[in-house]
Formats: sequence, structure tokens, C-alpha cells
Amino acid sequence: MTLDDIRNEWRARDEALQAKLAQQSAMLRDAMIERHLEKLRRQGAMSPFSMAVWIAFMACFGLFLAANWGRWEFFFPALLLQIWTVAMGALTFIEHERLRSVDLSAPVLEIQRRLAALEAERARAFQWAFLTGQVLWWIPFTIILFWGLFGVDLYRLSPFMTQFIAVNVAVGLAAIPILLWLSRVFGPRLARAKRGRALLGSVTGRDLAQARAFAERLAQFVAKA
Amino acid sequence: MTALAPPATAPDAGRSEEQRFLAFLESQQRILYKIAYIYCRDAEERRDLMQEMAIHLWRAYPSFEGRSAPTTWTYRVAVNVAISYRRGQGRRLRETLPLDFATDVADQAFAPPNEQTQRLHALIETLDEMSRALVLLYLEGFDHGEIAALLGISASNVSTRLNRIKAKLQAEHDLIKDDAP
Repeated sequence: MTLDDIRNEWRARDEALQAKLAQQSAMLRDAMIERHLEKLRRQGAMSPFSMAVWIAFMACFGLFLAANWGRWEFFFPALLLQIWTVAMGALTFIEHERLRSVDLSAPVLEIQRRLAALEAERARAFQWAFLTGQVLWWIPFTIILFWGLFGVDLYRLSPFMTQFIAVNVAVGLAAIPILLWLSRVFGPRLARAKRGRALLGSVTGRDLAQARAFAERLAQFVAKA
Repeated sequence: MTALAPPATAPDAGRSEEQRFLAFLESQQRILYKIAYIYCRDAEERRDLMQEMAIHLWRAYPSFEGRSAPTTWTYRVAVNVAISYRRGQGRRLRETLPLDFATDVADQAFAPPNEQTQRLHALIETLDEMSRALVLLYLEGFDHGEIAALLGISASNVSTRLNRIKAKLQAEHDLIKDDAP
């Protein structure tokens, strides 16, 4: 055995060492991913409280609709609210499933890109939920609340009320294109600011924020490996 | 020997110096392990020596200006630390760094494959610290000029010492034969 043979053997052992450490790193990455997925699976799309509130509202609107079939001035606002409530709940489940379906074994940059796209989608969904909600949950909700709980017909309370209802609904509808324009103009700047990012994090959901933090940890882990 | 990018590069923008160093250290841990392997038989001692080397690298990091390749710089600092460690010089540093290295996995993967290699390592352990450094760097693929630059001695000194080491090992064991001219 010459010194060169020993050197070649040393190189072979070094390659085996490198391969073993890479394998170890891959196993650790898989374990990290599995732990994160398990956490996501346990979390669920909605907390038990949110789920209970959602079901309660759907049930109440459903009962109201059944009781007010034919009274269209009450039926249609309640129908719009019911559709909005069901849609928001369904959207929450869909968004959660889309987050769970992100392939965490993909390259980290791909994961981060996918999560950023989901964040943008959720921000847009929240924007439309807010724009439509600010119309529905003011006057229409107040009308059916007063009728449903107190038997008070706000339409006939006074002539002023009819005008008030009409003006408020019109203003709410008119605000939609204005708010959309404002978000296009100021949105990018706000998204770059620290407070803007914090606000974005709070509206796009804790599960997505956790996923992005996990992707950041994974990126650091992969960079070291 | 492949050279890595210098520690502070564009992708590191936004990271603190500590984060950059820790990322750099992660990439050098295999080197530190092999140096510790040559100098320490005991697994616990290897981990201690790796910590010592890591701390000294951290302290020297701000003065690394990228004039040499990062791996070369690591060898220069770490081998000197290992030599001092074996000689018992300097006080042991009490700081620690988060060395996320699976030494037990490395010990298994890097174990001598046969009895001949085991005997060789036993012989290497009988060498003095500087000679071990020469053997390590030779096994790592450095040429005489590079070894000389790393250890701060002349290339002819390296050749002479390596020949003496080979002669010593040859005298003590039939393992090493003369290299072909």
C-alpha cells in the first residue's frame, strides 16, 4: 500500500462521510416537514369557536329565510347575507386545503413562491369579503335583525328611514370602486411598510404566517446542508 | 480542492455577521471533523476540539478578508488550533457555538474500513503534532507548496518531513512502500 493508495482510501472515506451527512440532512428535512404538516393537520381551517359561530349564523339565517318566504323585502337581504356567510366559510376551508396541498418536498424557492401566491390570493379574498361585507353587514343586517328579533319593520318606521336605507346602500355600493382604486394606488406602498406587513399577516391567517415562517426555517436549513 | 465563495457575498445581504458565520461554519464542519479525527482518538475529545476550532474561527472571522479561499483559511486556522490543543497550550475556551454536527454519524461513516487502515491510524497517533498536520494535509490532497503555505514552513521542509514520516512509518510497519518515481 503506497501513500497514494492511503490518500485514495481517505478520499473514498470522505465521500462516504459526505454522502452519509447528506442523507442525515435529508432525513432531518423530512422530519421537519412532517412535524409542520402534523401541526397543520391538527389546526384545522377554523377554530371550534369560529366553526360554532359560523354554523350558528347559517342556522339563524336559514330559519329567518324559512319564516319570511314571501316577505321579499326581508327575504332578499337575508338571502344575500346567507350566501355571503356560506361563501366565507367555504372559502376558509378551500384556502386551508390549498395551504395543506403545498408540496413541502419541492425546492425551497418554489415553496416560498407558492406561499407568497397564496398570501396574495387570501389578501384579495379578504379585500372582496370586506368590500361586500361592508354593504351587507350594515343596512341589510340591521333590517333583518330588527325584524327578526324585535318585529320592527325598519322600512315602514318612517319616511326618513326609507331614504336612510337607500342612501346607505348606495354609498356602500359606491365605495367599492373607490376603495378598489385606493388599494391599487396605496396598496403596494402599504405592503412594503412594517405595519402594512403586520396587517397583511393578520388578515391572511395565522396558518399561512406559520407556513411562511416554516419555509424560512427550511430555507436556512437547506442553505446550511 | 473546490473553493467556496467568500463569506460575505450578495446572497448574504440582510443577514447578520453571526448568521453568515454560522452558515459558513456549517459548510466547514466536515473539514473540522477530519482534522479532529487525525488529532483525537476519543469521540468526546473530537467534539471538544471541533468546538475549540469553531470558536477560534469565529474570533478570526472579522479579519478574514478573502485573500485566500475560505477552505484554505479554515485549514490554516483549524490545524493551528489542533496543534496547540494537542500540545496543551493556551487555555481552553469556555464559549461554545451551536455546532449542529452529527459526530456519531460521522464516526460510523468515516470509520477505517479494514485492519490495515486501523493500524495506520494507530501509527499516525504516535507522530508529533506537526507531523500529523503534514499527513492530514497530504491525505486531503494538498500539494507540497500548499502544505508549506498553510503551515508556514518551506516546501523543501515539507518534502523532507514527509519523507521522514514515510520512512518512520515504513520502519515501524510494512504498510507503506516507496512511491513510484
